[in-house]
Amino acid sequence: MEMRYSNFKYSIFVLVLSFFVSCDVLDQAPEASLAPSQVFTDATGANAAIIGAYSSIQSGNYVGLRSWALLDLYSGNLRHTGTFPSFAQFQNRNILADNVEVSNMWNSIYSTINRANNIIEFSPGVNDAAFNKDRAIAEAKFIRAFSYLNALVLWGGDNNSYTVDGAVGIPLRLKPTLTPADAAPAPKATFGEVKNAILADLSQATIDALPARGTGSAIAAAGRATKEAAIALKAKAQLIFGNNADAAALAQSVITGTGSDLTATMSNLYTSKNNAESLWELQFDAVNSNAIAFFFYPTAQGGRNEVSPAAPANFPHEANDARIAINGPGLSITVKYRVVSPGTDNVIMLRKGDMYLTAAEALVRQSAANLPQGLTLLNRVRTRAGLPNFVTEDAAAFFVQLAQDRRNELAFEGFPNHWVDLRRTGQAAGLFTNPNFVRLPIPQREVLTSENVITQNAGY
Amino acid sequence: MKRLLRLLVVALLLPLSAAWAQERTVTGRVTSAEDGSPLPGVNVVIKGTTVGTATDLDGRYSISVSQGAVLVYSFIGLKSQEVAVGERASVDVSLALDATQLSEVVVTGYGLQSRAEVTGAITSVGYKEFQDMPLRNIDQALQGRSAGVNIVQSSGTPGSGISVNIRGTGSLGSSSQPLFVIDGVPINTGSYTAIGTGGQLTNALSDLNPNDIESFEILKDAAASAIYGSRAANGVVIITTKQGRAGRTKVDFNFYTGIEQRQNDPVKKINGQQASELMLEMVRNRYPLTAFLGGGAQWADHAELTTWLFDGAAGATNTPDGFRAVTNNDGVREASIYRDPSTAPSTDWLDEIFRTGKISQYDLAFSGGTEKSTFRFSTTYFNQEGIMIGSGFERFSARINLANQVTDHFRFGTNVAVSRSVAVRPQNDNNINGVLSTGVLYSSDIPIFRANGTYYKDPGSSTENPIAAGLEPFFESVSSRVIGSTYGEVDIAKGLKFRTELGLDFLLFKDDRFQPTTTNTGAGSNGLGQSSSRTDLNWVWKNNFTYNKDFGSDHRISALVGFEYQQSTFESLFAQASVFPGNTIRRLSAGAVKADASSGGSVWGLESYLGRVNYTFKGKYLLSGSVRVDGSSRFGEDNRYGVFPAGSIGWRLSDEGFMSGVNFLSDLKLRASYGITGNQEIGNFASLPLFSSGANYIGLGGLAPGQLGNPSLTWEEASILNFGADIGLLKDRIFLAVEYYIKDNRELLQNLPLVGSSGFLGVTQNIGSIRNSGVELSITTVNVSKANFRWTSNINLTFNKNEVTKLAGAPFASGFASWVEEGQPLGAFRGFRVDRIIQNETDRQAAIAQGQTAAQLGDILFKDLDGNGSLTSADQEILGSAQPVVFGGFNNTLKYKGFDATIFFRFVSGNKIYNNTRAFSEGMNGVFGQTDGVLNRWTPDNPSTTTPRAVFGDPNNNRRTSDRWLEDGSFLRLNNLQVGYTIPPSVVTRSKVLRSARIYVSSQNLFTWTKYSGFDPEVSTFNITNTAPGTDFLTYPQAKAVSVGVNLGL
Repeated sequence: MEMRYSNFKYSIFVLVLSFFVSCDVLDQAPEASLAPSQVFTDATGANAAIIGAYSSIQSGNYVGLRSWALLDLYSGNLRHTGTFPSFAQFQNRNILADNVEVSNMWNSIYSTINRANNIIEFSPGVNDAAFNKDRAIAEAKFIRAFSYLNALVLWGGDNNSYTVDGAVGIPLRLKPTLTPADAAPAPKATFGEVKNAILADLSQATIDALPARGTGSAIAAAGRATKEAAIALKAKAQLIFGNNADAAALAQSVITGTGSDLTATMSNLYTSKNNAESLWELQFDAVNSNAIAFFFYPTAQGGRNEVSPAAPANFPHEANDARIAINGPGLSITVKYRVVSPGTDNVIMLRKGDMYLTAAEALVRQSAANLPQGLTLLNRVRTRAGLPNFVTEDAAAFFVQLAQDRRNELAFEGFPNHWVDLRRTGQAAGLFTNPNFVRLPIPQREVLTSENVITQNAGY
Repeated sequence: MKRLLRLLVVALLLPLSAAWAQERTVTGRVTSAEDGSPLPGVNVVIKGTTVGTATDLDGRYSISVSQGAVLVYSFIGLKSQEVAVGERASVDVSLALDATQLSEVVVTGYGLQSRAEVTGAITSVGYKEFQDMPLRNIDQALQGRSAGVNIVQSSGTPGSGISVNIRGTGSLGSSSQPLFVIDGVPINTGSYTAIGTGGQLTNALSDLNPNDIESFEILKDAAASAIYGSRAANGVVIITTKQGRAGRTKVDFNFYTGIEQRQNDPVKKINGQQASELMLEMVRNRYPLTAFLGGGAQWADHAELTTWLFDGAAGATNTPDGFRAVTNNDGVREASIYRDPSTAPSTDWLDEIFRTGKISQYDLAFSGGTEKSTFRFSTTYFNQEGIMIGSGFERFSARINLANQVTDHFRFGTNVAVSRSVAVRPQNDNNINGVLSTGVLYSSDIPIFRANGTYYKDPGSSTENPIAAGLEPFFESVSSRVIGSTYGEVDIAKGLKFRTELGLDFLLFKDDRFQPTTTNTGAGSNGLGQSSSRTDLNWVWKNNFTYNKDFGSDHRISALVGFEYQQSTFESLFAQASVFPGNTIRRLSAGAVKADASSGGSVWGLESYLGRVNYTFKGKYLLSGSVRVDGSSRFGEDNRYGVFPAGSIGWRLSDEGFMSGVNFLSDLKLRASYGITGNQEIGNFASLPLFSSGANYIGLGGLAPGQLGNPSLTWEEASILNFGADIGLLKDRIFLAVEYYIKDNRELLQNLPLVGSSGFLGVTQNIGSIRNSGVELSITTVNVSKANFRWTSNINLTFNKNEVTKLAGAPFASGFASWVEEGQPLGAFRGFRVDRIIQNETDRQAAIAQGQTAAQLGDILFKDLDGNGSLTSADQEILGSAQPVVFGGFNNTLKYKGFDATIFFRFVSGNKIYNNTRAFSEGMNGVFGQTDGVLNRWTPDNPSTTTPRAVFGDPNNNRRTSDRWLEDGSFLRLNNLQVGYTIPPSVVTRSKVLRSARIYVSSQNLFTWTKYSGFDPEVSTFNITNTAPGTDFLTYPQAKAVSVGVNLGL
């Protein structure tokens, strides 16, 4: 049988076509990300990296809720009314090492630190006149110090104070993680080493490189680090570390420094943003929102009713204290977070009210002779809260009253104030059958992944 | 059988068009013994010669024969017949289907092969096995049909994903789902939804119409699948759609309609009265009367305190008897109710959310053609209401398949399908706004509505009202899809063909969700709307040469060489808005606050070269080798091309002379194969170090480190060793296929966990290894074969052992209780072990001594497994595994005169389920709705040894991950029971309209036998997961369905 392949030419045509129309399908590049080398090249990229570091603090696993709310639950300022078993462990003061909130907080804080480390490492190499290197590095150090302070007070420290340098610390990483090799686990540094790193980051050079806050509510760079914010953060740190002379001096310099005094009506701090009193507020808006009010609000009002202010018996206030209406003991919500959706409440991180109480305490701890001065500062805050002046000649009674006022004044703000107060005054250990539980467990994941290079905290 | 294949083969063999001078002419007609229809293209050959012809469109033939000639009528898939012509001038023949496996032609990757010569492990599933079952997805059709293929329908959620694992799960962090190829086009699979529901995702395979499918071929070993190279490590499923057949145009209309209901399941909730008693008891066991008051004040009784805690009471007032909660007097959770629980209201939420749903399908197909061209057009509409409020699925699809022989040596064809499917999706699983999740976890003492007609929202809980969860949100996912290919094929020389084919799969997926102010989510935001659109265009251009030649009578060679390009382009858009002017306008344009808007895109490409040679010596020694080289854009420049070779041998022992005396053995073939395949499903840019966008603050755009790079990143690899035997006994009345395999998945892309203190949680690396090894058994028997009665069975069994052989770093947790550890199977569960319920002070002291400081009588004493006297997180161990010991299917087909029946069972045995639903519904720690297991709770009067006491907040953490929630997941399910009656052709044809008619009743999941206490033992809250299978958490269960249908031929 003869076969005629008259279509041979077609096949040749297709063949030739297919070899010449070669398709380059292998070279593809991502569309929503950049190579690291494209970031720290000019002011735009480097500034975006700083914004990225602030953004990290906003995480719901960090100041966006958990880094203070869970500790308010632990300290008793909050009660658990929701469904998350991981939250219940805080309320029950029985936290397991695999608690997912603990792990997420840890990871979130260290992710922020790594962002700051990138800025500190690479900013010097950015050749762009429009880029303020010194300010960039200072902002990054401010963020890093704040983050290490948060981590250190939760996972480190002595059972009864934060003043023992040899006490338990946390891993201290001051260089960015750029390759998988850089990510090798670093063992815990001592408490003192981390403390010194925090104070070094808040050095005078850092303070000097930051812009002044400005007066009144005309805040320079709302939501970002300022001179005053850095000094206030350092004052807070020094009070925690027991360096009372420094704490008193720093806090007083903020009080007497530029900017106006305490906001006359305390609730204005929360119903409007960036009041004159506030030194650093973490900014939230409709497109960059938080879920804090959502976690408080009852379901019928669109929340998830996960936490509520503790019952009045567990969260006592003096009669006529204006802060009752703000904190809402026994209610399901607090005035400090009011907008369920779209979650635009700012979180107040540092404010002058805190500095008054910090200065008051640090002065009297320095010397009982400073009691009158301390009372004056304390009573400024009490007066604003609609309370009568507190009068005593006994330093011990002063500290009791001051602790009470600190609790009522600073509850639910962006730092675990009451929990840290309980710990630094040695009252936390008594809440547990095992005093080691004052420190959170190192996340089980961290211990396992590091193959015990990062050791578990005692008791877990 | 495979009409397409027949036609192709016929088309190849047809050029027998010469005329021969003979003594006389015989004519006749060849028809199908099955339905009497004419058979075109049947070869009619004079025995002992090469002289022959083929039947025309009406099945007629004409051939010149000499005296005493014997004619051989043959057609692939039908039993050949020999007929002595004798003196007749006309010989009519009817050909019956060939039930033996050997004559089958199997679709292989890039070709066809006679079953007798196949040396790889391939299972074929023809449409007859699943037709007329009410199938939602094509992957459902494969469930239980093939040894070695574990298909888990993770939920009954309409349109949701199904997990398909061929020879076990072989990946950790990448996809472990097989490659699906439809008519030569590798298609997009998986989920395209951008809006989470809590667990179940969507399934791109739901876009395909099961009725269009002629057959599935499952390529299981490397010999079969390695031709697909870097995408074959999880096996390949080849789908061939139905083609037209030369002959009179046929019209087929199929219709069924039926109902679906929830299966008889054991989940029963306690009623409102029991819930009220329980709440009071929880509070009493936790709080003294002085709780929350301070200063020595007391509550009047625990009923007041319970009301204060759970009724959203505005406060408490002091009375002479003590504090009383300020009640809202709405008849719910009043202190008076706690004092007399019999007065509590009661709602059976499960009864309220489940319903009887309708399911129906209309299917119309036209098919036919001439010798030169054939066609098949089909349209199908499928509708399923869903057995739960707020769920449903519908699909409209149409398909055109055309093939045309332009000249003797040039053919082209096209296959195109379009579809649109709409899923009405409920939220569920790990979601406090889900329908089933709230149906279970909403307390029974809450009424559906308040007196004013609004939903009654539980004041003490954050869970949504189940009816509001089901009826109020609008949530629809619409998938529009075009899958098609066009090919041209030319004969270049004898036996040598060139084929070029352009295929594409275009998918447009759109999600829209609106949560009105009547829902908790929408209440806070004054209406919350989300909208997402995703498109994926995937094209492939394939060019192949094939060469088939016989050298003498002993040697036969078939070879394939080809190259191809493939590219997939993905685009996405997402937007979210809140603060709507009312609940009527659901489009985002109405929302005052545009909270989110983002777009994304990504591309990957493949460049491939492939080749294969099959060699047969004397028809009994079989040898095959293939290789594919894939370049992928997903891997670093240095490591861009991978080589995937495979080889196999076969020996048809039964064709050896020395076996001729062994009469009971009708067929025996031994096979062995080895090869390497790859898995490139790892994300498009996993190898690059990246800074990510989106880290914004104070209205400025931010950048942040996103991932650490790994330039040496490469594909995952699977080496598969396979031994197989095909054994036919008693003239193939019994046909047995046995496979033994060892599949080693290596270089598994794993997120090497990094310490969180580094700022990263992991980096993708090629580290892990998993071994799956096992035995597959498939037995097909013809139990009875009589003139009027025929009964055939197929049973398939799979014994697979899965083991993680290497991991990056330490073992890690996954899901709720799953644990990945070297030496353990994927799906292992880890947790604490219950020792006993604390019944006395000695037990209690033992508990306190080991750190359970809150323990009281009735709490659980957990085992201190490491014996160090302290109960810590280290006191957890492997409790069991979600991997079955054996699974399979058992199908029976019976035919008696016009009646037919199908009885199909599926079974899974030896697996465990972590019932996380019970960890909540028997937790007795808060206001969650509880199931009847809590009725056996420990009390001083009922010292239960299995269920602990009720205590608010669960201070002893009795609910922790432990063997308490682990259950046997084995089940036997009557998957399909179908009885049909075919009206005799003699009656049907009298109507002058109908060609054939059949009516039937079909059922799905009519019975399930299991010890599992949840809704459905076939469950996975994580949908398609490698590391956390077999976990149940408030997952939409599968339905049972009964339908009636007709098949009409015109």
